[in-house]
Amino acid sequence: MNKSFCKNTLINDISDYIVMRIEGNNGEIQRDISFSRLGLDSAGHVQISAIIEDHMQIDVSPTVAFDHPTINSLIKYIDELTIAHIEEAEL
Amino acid sequence: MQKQLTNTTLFMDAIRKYAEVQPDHLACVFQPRAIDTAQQLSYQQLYQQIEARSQLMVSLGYHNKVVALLYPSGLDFVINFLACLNSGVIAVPLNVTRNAKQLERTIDIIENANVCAILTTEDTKIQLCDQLQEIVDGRKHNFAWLTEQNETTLSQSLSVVKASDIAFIQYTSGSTSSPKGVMVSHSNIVDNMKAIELSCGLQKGVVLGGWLPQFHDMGLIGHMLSPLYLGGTYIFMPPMNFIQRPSRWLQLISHYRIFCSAAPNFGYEHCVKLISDREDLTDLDLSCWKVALNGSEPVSAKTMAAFAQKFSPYGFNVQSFFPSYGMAETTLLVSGGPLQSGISVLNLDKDSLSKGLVTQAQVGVDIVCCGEISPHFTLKIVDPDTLQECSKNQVGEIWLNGDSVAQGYLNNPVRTKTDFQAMLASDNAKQYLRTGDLGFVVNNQLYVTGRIKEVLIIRGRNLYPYDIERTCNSYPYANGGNGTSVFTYQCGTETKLGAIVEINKRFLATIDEQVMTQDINALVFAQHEISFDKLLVTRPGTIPKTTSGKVKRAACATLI
Repeated sequence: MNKSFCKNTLINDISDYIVMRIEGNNGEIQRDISFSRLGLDSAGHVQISAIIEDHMQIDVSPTVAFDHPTINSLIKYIDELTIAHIEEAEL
Repeated sequence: MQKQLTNTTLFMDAIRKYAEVQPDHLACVFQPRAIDTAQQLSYQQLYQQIEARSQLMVSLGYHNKVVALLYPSGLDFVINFLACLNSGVIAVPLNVTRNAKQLERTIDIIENANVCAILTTEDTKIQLCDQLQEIVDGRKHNFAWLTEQNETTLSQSLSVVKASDIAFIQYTSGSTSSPKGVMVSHSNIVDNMKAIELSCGLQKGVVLGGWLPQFHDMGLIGHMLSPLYLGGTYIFMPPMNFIQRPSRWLQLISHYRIFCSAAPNFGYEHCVKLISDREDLTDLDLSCWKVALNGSEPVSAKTMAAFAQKFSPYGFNVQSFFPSYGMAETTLLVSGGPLQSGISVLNLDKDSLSKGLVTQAQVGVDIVCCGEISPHFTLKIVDPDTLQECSKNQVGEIWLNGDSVAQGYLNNPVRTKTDFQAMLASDNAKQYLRTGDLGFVVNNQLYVTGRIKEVLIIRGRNLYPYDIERTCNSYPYANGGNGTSVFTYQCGTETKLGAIVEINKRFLATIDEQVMTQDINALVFAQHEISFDKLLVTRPGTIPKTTSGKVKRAACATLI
């Protein structure tokens, strides 16, 4: 996996994706508002997991955005995942 | 052997036979991601595990009782479902819920079906028990849990299972307020296996499967049972893994040389939209895919054309498209095929069609043919009001009679009588299933034009506007009553979902509109896993209604 994944690029990509998917969104995605409050459907939630996979080059559960439903909680989860992966690699 | 099997009266007789005569043949392959994630079972392994689970259930006294199967996609579901068939335990396959709100609906079904035990994995049990604790409804639940940790060393002979016994209950239709469990008998299963074999041109040893959920009729009967009945191989992956990366479905078909794979229209559309040109598809060869079955939501000729264009360079043959019609109430398949007939479309005059008349026109409404009616059914097109058979150029309700038609709705004698035991005005010798779908027949080919009752079909799921409206009305600031309208509207060729929710005047003045929109979005998503393309919160009295107070959904669409 790519250890030096760029957090900001990922955040931007997720935000861009949500803006594209939701009608009438003004282009600003608040990072602590849940994807479902923003009006994202379930397929959209799953697509976020694919965006993360593409960035990180690791397998991510398709339901990760259901379990961590805001941008900030997702990033926190990915940080933890990254640390776990690095530790595993170092063992 | 073929000869012996034609006399098979129960599905499990076939499996038992294959475990004897082709023990090492692959029965199931579950592959969630890349090839190295595949798990498989031979017929012998499958049968051994079925036997062990059957012994356990019989020793617990579950024969003729109802159990719920709440499994994530996987081999456990196959083993446990077939163990139920084997031991005469009535299975209710259900979706594993993601939160307590969704579990509440499952609990309603569990109560409706009088379930005595939940069969699941240990991991899923923990997840469900957590959700269960969040539900405070004062109800006591009397069901037991059965996981892989439960075993028995007892060996006893299994009870006799009769062809007329109920094999399983399929909850697919019915609104939340009145869940309808379709009672499918053992002989229904076998009859529909034969109907599918004939319509889809399946051969012994067929390789069949895809990503459809196992708890749903198309995935259960079509993908899982059909290949096993023919001594073939059931290949599958979790639906979510398809949604995440749709190319996985096509790779699965290509790698395992799948002959028949089904999806609702949105599955094909998902591939068109989300498989990007950057993906490496060099090894993809779809020439094996002879039955690309499309069912459970209206078939779009446009989607089919786009799919064919995108994937014909990879060996996909446009003639392999196989639009079909079926439902849980008929076990599964009613019409489809014949093999390699592709898509055919009738252009109908719009004005005539709105009056229920079939008049072909140069330009008009496109209706995709749902294939040849299976000889396992007698199909009538009936005027739903007069109960008289329609003339050839008339649209009417689709009525069905045949050995695949299920036994009725569990614990619901009223609906069973109205829906499963309908009779034509002119003939009271034969009972028919009323499908609630409208259509007509040309040259023994079925065309479906719509539904009598209002039901939204979104991503292959039947949703009832009333259920979603009720959820919106439960929002504390909503005005309630019939102050919510949920409806679909057209945006180009796409069908979108809209809602108008009337808010109590007091709150409309004080609470931020965006906050309320977000609240309602979150509420609806938690319960139904859908989201609105447009949601309007507004003052009371905005929703257009008829003089009798009924919501005019078409007018709502215009308003939005």
